Amino acid sequence: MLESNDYLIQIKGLSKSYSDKDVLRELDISIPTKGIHGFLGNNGAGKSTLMKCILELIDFHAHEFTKTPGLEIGYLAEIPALYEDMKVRDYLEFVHSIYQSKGDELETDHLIEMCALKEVSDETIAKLSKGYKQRVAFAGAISYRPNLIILDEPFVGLDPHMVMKMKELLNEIAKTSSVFLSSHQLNDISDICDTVTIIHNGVIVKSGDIKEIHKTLHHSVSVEAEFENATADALDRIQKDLNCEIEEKSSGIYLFTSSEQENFKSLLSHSFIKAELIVLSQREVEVKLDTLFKEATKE
Amino acid sequence: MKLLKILALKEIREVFNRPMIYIFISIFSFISGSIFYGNLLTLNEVTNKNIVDVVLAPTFSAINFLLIFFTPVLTMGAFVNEKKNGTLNLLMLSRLKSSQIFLGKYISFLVQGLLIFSTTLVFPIILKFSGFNDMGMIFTYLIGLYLMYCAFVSIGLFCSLISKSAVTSIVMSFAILFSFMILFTTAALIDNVMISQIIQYFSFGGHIYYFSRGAIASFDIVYLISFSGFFSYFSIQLLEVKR
Repeated sequence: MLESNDYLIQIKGLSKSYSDKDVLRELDISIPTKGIHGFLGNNGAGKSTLMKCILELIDFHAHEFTKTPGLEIGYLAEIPALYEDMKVRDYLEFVHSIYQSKGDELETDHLIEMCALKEVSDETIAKLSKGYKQRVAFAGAISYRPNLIILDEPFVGLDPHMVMKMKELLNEIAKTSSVFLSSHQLNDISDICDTVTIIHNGVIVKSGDIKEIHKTLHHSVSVEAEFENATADALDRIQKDLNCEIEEKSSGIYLFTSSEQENFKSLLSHSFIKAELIVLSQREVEVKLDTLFKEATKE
Repeated sequence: MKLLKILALKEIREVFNRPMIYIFISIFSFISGSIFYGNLLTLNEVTNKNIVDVVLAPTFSAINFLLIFFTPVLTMGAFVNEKKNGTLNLLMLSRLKSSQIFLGKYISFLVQGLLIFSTTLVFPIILKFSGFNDMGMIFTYLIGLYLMYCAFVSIGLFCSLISKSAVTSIVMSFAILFSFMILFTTAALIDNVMISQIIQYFSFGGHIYYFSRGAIASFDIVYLISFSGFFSYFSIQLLEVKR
């Protein structure tokens, strides 16, 4: 079947409930062979549970579950799974030895270099800071070059520099394997993910390309402008003419939002001139993933 | 096989990096030493038979009793900690088989057992000075104790696997161990001889008798090994189900 070649794992109608509470309800998930896929959701939305289901670490109910045979999965749990008594190098070698099977794994030295763990490679894991522990666990998860890497909140506790480095690594890895990551740090996800799935209360609210989601969720254009001589009169006129919403952000700075995308920006500029407003600055405000997320998870 | 070795070595290294085992050995050697010394004081005539009856037999049966309390404490963290740290998932997702995960732990406890019982070797050395030369006796005692310990460990590991906290694990394994011990006296109250005998056979109590008299009986060994085997098999199946 063609489909099974395109996807590493396909789950249809995935449900999971803990005693009386439904955590996941009838989700359909397909994991492609390449690329980075992000999961967004509030706390308790079911992100971690979904990941555990994909890993088959917990019981769940699904109508259909297809998995490529021989699939290797790397997993970075929310709380990094580490043997705290071990030294960093020993730990990586241990993980390496219990997972390796293909023979094209990363050399431990190379791995330590890649994840910037050189200065702590001979330290006991228990003594490391949270960020370092996270890195060690991450290094462990990628050490055997799995086809699929599942990362649960990977950027928590890392400094910005390391986050950037990790993103670079993930981009590199995503060329050959598939990466699944969850986060509630929305801006973290938006710049590296190819596709995004927003989960709310155990249901997929939106799924697909980030840009596509933008379009479907938000049809409006927002422009922020700063004036030297803004008057209520002039603004009223603009509002009537263009049928847009105006919101005062701070003194002299206004946000113009219209649901008609076509040439709103140029119309707006023309109306500023007509109203004899002196524009100090003007820019289009991009709809951030945050807004998107808030909109999608609104009750 | 290679994987099992890696895992077992890791477990053993972990155990010896922690203070727990050393504290444990010191407490154990202190208590068993005190019991031995106490029994030695009651000895009024030094003969081989006397030493066995008055000193060794009571000492070793006391140690055996002590193990019922000690083994659950020793094994409590085995799987509970792994679950708490999420490392059990790390092992479960790897190429390790369920049996290897279990046996890796089991082997590390066997090694710990060797170390713990090695402290009792000081008894025959002391006795040697007074002319005691029945070393075979000591040897049988130690084999009996060690096999008993193996059986206890299998229960301890099983309980650690099914419980979420260390305390639950201790309480459960202690309850199981104690019930198996007490079964012997309970069974004696049953009128039907056949049922009584069968139940007695299931108890630990019925299987120390020969060891403590210097005899290695095949049915005792079969019992203890199959006991360990049964609980190990249970645990491995449980791990398999969790996958």
